[in-house]
Amino acid sequence: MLPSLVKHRSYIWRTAWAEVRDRYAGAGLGFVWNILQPLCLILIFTVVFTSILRHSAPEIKVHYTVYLCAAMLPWQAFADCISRGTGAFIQNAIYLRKLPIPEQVFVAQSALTSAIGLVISYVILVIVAVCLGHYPSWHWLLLPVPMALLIAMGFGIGLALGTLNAFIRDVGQLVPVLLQIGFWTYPIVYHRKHLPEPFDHLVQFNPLFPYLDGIRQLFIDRHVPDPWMWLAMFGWTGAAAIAGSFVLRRLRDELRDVI
Amino acid sequence: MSCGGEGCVGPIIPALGADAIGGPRTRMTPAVLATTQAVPTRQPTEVQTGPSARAGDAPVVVRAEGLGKRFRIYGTPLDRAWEWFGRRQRAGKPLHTDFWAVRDVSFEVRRGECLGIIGPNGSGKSTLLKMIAGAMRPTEGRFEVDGMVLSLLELGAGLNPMLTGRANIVSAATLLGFPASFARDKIEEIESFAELGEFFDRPVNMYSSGMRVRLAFSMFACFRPEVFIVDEALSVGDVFFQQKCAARIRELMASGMTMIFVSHDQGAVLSLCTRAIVMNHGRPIFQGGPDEAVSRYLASLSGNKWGPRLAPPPPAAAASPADDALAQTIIKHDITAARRAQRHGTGELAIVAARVLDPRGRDSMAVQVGEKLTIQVLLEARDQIEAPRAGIRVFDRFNSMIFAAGTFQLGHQLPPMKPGDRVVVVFTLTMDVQPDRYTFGLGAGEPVAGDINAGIAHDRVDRLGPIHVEISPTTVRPFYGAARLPLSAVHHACQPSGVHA
Repeated sequence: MLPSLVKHRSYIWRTAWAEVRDRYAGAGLGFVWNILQPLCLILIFTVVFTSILRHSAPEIKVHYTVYLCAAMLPWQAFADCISRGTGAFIQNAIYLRKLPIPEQVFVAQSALTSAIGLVISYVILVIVAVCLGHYPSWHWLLLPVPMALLIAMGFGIGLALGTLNAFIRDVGQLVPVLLQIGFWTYPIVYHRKHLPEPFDHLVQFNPLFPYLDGIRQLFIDRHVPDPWMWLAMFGWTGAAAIAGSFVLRRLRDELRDVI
Repeated sequence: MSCGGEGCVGPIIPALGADAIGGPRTRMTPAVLATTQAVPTRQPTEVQTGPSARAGDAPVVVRAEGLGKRFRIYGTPLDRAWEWFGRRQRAGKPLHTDFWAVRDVSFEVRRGECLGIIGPNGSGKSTLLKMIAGAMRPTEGRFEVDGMVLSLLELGAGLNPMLTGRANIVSAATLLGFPASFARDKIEEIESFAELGEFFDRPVNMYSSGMRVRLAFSMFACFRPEVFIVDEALSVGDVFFQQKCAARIRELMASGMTMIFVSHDQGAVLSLCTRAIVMNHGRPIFQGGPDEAVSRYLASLSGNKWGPRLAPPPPAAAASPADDALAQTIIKHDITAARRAQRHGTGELAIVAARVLDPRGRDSMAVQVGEKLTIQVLLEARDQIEAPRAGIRVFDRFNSMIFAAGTFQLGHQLPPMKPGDRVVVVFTLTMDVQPDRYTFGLGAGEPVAGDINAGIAHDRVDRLGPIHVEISPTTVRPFYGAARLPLSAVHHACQPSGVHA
């Protein structure tokens, strides 16, 4: 699995970057939309949750925008990675049908596209946070690690869902619904303390917990996550990658016949 | 029962010996090949039979053994999911049906050879190619390639329309796993070969289809794969570029590149390939020299399920038991049962079977312009028929009837028939028509009282064929237009002008 990704790294990188670059091709502002989109999103959530709903949570020590976006932006990249991965084989059917390109290249490419989007949006968040008086720290330099592991988990899940989706297109319809559920089952918008009794502890077993909580600890609390958190991250990512390659391996023989 | 005079045996020539028939599905060994003959009218090409001296000791680059591809066809996509969880049946029926698109394909291609794969639509060519190209995994069998395979399958479809020609080359190279620097090294060569001018730096969505082909072919030819798969898409470009491609392909083969060529274009197969496989219904029905492969392919098009069978020697003199033997051979080689055939009529006079023979006496409908097809029609009366008639109709590619006539128009009278009587009518049809594909229909009927040009069709079978009419490029065309009309010319010498004054 890995050697083929290394061999095709040039393609993966080029097309992922081209996708980010050309996503808004034809629009007057072009690439600028890559910055405007997350910026607007940050603005909307801030306005909605601080002004209209008058969201108050004494547990949240920082500006709510910073608290929200610190976890929401990685979540969005993760969700984007999964939905892109789910459609990767169908989107690239034209290549898969005629060229001996390893299947996982296309899922890797969509994961990388999401990762680039995450980097762009997080840079904007950093600027916004600094403007709001949240000053940088060396802990931020560690942020790419949980982010990369999160996207890698998305790659594994995308590999499995993309393969299944090629055979059963219903998967593609189901994924957005599941992602919506996923968004609300984890305290991204609200705080963990708002969850009723057993759930505030059970949330630790949510696969997203080590990544998103780790990112918040680094970004907001300026604290390096405990070793067990890192272990959990590697564990979930490894499990997702193994599951993804297992599904692909089992169904690979017929994959190109059905797309 | 008598049959129509001289036409009974007619131009059936005992052409090839029985030893050349071969099992329709068995592979031809080179030894058998050497004893078979090519179609006599075809021009000999440089390399006539495959495993010739030229490539005989070159290393094997592609080796396939018993290659097969099975598709599973499911009623609904969810049936497949059921199977993942171990369920095998639903409502007593299996969840899927198997369809073998390709089976039992074995071949070897040596360095510098060009293997042609020909066959009608749906014969498994594309599936086979995809397996060779690595874009599809075989269900059974082994397949080995020594080196990189590049294919021009669905040529041009893989180009990104938003990118320029130049950017597409880099994109395609990296897609194939080359570093971007590899593409940059090749770009000048590709640019000069493709001759796209300023379009080379324009987005591909501005290209004509011919330009896309030029770009794709130039690109892949310059990447110099070990094995290069070219399919019919190549016939899209204009004639000059095609010639250039052919020259390039020869040059690449001379430099040791191996080609696999798939085409309906028999001329290309004949001029480029050193060997060919004829596919039909997913199985190789012949493997050998391109000449013979093409003629067998054409014969297989003419309706024989497992490919051409050569005609057994025609029955001896037209004695009465031989008539029955003739009827039996017609039934054996019947073409009216073809899947596409359309049939209607009242049935009092039935067309039991029909057989078509080419001038060489084979069950083939491939002829040269001006050659004669022999059409034997076995009729059986189911009622008392006083004046039976039989006829033939020929249609062109656009389903326009270009000719129809029969015993009545020929002034040939068939004997009255009582129920159970059989008669064989033998038509000899000179294919004085343009080189193209034609279909034909057969009819049996009787006249109605009162109108001399009307009749009842008791049985009619249409959409038979196709008849392939060809012309060798070195033959002078005997006429132009849809068909040859009787035309003659004389001339009279006159005084030079001015002498009268």
